[in-house]
Amino acid sequence: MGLLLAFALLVSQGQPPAGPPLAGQGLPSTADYTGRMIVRAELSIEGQVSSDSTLVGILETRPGLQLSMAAVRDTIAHLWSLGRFQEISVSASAVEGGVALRYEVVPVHSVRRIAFRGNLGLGESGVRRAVTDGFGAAPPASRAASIAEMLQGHYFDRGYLAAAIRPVVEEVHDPEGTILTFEIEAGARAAVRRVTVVGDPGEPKDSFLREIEADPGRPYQRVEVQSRLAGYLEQLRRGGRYEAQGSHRIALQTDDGRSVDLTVNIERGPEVVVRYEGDALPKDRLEELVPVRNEGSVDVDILEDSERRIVAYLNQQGYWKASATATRREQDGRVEIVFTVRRGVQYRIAGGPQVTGNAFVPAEQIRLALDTLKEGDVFVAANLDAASAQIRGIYLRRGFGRIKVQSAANELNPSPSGEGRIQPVISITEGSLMRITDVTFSGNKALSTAQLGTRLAIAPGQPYFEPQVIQDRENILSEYLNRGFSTAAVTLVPAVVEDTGVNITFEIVEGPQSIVDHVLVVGNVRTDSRVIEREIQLRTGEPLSLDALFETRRRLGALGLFRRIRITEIPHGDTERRDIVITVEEAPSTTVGYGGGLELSQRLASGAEGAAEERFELAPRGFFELGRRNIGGKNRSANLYTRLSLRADDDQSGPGGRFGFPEYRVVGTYREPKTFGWNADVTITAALEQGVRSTFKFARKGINAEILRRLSPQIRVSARYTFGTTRTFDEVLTEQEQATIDRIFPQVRLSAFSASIARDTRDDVLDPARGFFLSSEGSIAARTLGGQVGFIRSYLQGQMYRRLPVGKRVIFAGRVALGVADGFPRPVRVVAPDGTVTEQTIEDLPASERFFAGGDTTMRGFALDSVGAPQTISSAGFPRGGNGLVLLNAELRVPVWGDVGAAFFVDGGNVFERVTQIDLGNLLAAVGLGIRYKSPFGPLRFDVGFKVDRREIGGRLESPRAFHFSFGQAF
Amino acid sequence: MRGRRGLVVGLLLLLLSIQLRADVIDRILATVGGALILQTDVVAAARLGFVRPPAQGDSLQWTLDRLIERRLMLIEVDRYGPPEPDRSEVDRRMQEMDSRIGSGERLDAIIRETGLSVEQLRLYVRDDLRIDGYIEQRFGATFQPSEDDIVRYYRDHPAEFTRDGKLRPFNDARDDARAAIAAQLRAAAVREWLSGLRRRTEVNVLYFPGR
Repeated sequence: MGLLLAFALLVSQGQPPAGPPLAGQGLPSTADYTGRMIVRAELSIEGQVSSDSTLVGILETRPGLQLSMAAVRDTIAHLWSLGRFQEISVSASAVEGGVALRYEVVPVHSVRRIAFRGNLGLGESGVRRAVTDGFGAAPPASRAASIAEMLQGHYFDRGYLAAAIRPVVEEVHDPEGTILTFEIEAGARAAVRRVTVVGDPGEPKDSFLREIEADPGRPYQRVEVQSRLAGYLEQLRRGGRYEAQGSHRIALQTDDGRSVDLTVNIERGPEVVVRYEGDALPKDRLEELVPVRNEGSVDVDILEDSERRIVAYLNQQGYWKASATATRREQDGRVEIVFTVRRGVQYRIAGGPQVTGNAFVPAEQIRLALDTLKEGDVFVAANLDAASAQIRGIYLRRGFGRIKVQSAANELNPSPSGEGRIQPVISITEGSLMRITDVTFSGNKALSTAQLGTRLAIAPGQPYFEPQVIQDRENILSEYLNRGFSTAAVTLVPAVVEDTGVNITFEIVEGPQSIVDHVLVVGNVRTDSRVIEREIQLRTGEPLSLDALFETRRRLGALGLFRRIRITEIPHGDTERRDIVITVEEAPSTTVGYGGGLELSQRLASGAEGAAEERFELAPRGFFELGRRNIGGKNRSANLYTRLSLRADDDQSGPGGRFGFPEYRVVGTYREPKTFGWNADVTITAALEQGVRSTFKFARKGINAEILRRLSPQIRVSARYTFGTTRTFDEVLTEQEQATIDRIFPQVRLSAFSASIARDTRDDVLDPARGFFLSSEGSIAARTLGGQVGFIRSYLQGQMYRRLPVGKRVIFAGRVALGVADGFPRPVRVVAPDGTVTEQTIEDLPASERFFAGGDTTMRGFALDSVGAPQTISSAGFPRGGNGLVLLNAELRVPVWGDVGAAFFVDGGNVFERVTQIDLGNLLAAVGLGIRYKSPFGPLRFDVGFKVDRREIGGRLESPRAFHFSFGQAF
Repeated sequence: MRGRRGLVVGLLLLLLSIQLRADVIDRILATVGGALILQTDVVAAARLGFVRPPAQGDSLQWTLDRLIERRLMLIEVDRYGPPEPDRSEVDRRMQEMDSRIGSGERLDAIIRETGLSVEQLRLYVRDDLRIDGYIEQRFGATFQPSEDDIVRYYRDHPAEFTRDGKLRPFNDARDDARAAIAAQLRAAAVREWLSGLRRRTEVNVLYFPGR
């Protein structure tokens, strides 16, 4: 016990002398009960025996078992972990056949009200604020004594030196709660009796004391005097007395607490004047370079620091030989600090840096480290040092442990304009390549060397690459953390062997292993415990794994049921077993959302002679959403989403009716996670919608059922069945230009199965900076399924996002997409304009299922849907869509300032009538640029795209550019 | 007849009271930063000699206060993660504990009646060593009294430097005086530290003597 015991004795001043080492007499004993058979074990909440299965279920002392105090302790720990009780005690009584146990618990009585009574002296609102500021609006009743202590200080600071404060805790029931009352007898407020001023305040003592509110006769308020004195000192400092100091204390307090004698110390310090001689410094930087006012001091350290700051500042401007000297002169109580600044000549780099001695690392790689030493740049010695350090790092990472990099600034003859010229010289002595000779572990007991070896990427014979070795150390540490060794430490000890080898030793201090005892869930009122439990990755008896802890939190968060999730480890006394308490705060069941937006896009519309024209369209839209989640406590949810867009009619010539609501969408969704006990979610959706495409409008109603399963956090697979009808109307194309299927089936019924698989490693779905998104979807629609037409359709796409190693946070985004479809042959009767009926076989897809391209998310140099091979474009310039689609997009996203960024893009692709006509040599292309703004709601985007080759359509050259304004990235 | 009835009733009441007698075998006495201190912790600490309650007064209260202070220190120690104590040092302290208790049977009884295991006791000892290490590191070599302080202490505490009725010469007693002052200063600093820990940590005491 040594120190601790000695300390225990020291801190117990005023206690009786210590007794014998084995004292314990008079302490409660359990000897009469331990080991006896438990006949009965009950839990009583404020005198009422509880039958709550959650509570009774965690009692470890069950009838039929022998009474073990370890089990009693564990049970107390479990009950406490629930956070529901503020007191727990266990009593035992001898009964026939053994022992009866009773757990008596007192529920947490949160404070419902805080009251003050008595002679408060101070305003109640101020006293209440002091309590709530320090302890919150509803502190636990057990903090009553601490609050009273704080209030004592509060009153003392305000002159009530002998205030008496007594907390009274009154428990109330139904609902459970506590009223916390503070009975206060403030007593008399102390008045200042005599004041001794030590030092010279620089003005008559009386007025000084009045100013700091410490003049005799005035009520004494420590806080006020302190604050006034601080203001007085600040005033002195502003007047140049940077070293002004002051304080006050109670020298004497009368027994009745009614008066105090004070001592005020005031040291004005000398008046300081700071002057600058020599070359001028920018005025707006002086406070920062010479912080004597902020620091309130002109001591030697501050002045030396200021000299260094001035020199460093000038060095950064290329004044390599700048100097600054501070001189302190004292005269007649005044201190004059004079900074003499000499900038000297400004130096620039001449001829670029000269690097010698590099054999292993090629010059091109070294050059990357020399970015700040380009010819013509001002010379900053710190940049040369940084470049040398960077080169050293390059070598160290490659295993050159003995690398030496020396640098020098060679001064050349000045330029004709008088500017200094420097040629930086970097000399490299590579030394020998160091290889790892051996890898060993020490201190590992729970994990064998073989087990640890599997976590290593390094191996004997490999070059010594420090970052990899450090990464391996992290891997070993995380292995321990995942096995419950929460205090494990891994130290890396490299030892050089014969100049060319390194022995790596991982010194491990495992510490104790934490084991999960009970996992308790608290706070779920509506949510079925089983819904929570199936997401918990921590298991009783298993090590407390850090990964499992994080994964549990992630999964519970992903349920979307909780506003807050807290996972707490509750230790069992001095054991390494932990109860894990998961406290959830449920989110509201009903959600309501609404909003609006504005879509600005370029679309095709019929011009004066029926030819396609690109027009800007502004479409305000609004949505309303109503959701209900956690239905039946099973995390089922139902959602209703409605959206409405206001658009200009295509025909603008007639009176009125210039605007309408041609686009709307009403979708009802029901989602059931983990359906039938499978690890898959089923979603049933019914939708009613009407939309506008370039060459037709459509109205669709349908229902689909989808089952989605996540194979891993990144990979998901889904299968879907869709049944619905689509009616196309307001076709722009003439009957002759329309596909036969669209003429035959202005309303088509579809019944289709589809399946998809996607791998998504993007770091952010809305605005990704790295990762991939790969997806493949296939659909089959058939008449045998109940539809009117049949086809197969497939869409494959890959998206890639990568941060480039140039500039600051430049992101490359790329996409490749391929769509292929083919209709199943179907004989139809076609009526020609002259009335003749012929039998034909059609293989087209309905217009609503064909591929289109062009617009803000596909090819940005083109208006919506206007991309297509000649066979897919009507003579008037309107697209018909096709069975084949190719899309290639590349984009650089460059941050510019704050939340504003720029984008430069190249889009390529085309729509082909038939899959067999897909021709990568026949792609349309567009280049462009855009502006991005990261708004609080997500990225806003404005793009302008330029066609690389303009087509002549309908006898007219198409528009050279297209503008788009929308929400979210293009892909 | 009346007296006999009274006797029977008295006997019945006595039997009933024996039957109804219930002892509190464990309870929460305090929480320190969310960690529990149970009645069995207090009993174990006292009976195993980890703390030495005074011969007079409320042993439970005194021991509880020490355990609260120990837990406060442990919270701070865990925050800084001092090196793991040497296993041999833990063994030595365990042996000291064994010799204090005197016999294996007595240790078994304490373990049985308090619900602690030997492994838990080892962890307790380990944590004590970690606390010692932390205090030594933080307050060990900080206090160097001046020569004037040593002289003053020597003059003010003659009883401490008197052997066999004779006051030891100052030169002979200087090191002892210096050590005594350093220990006082260190104890004051530790007290101050502990008081700060207590202010910053939520400590709820649920033990009220007599209840």
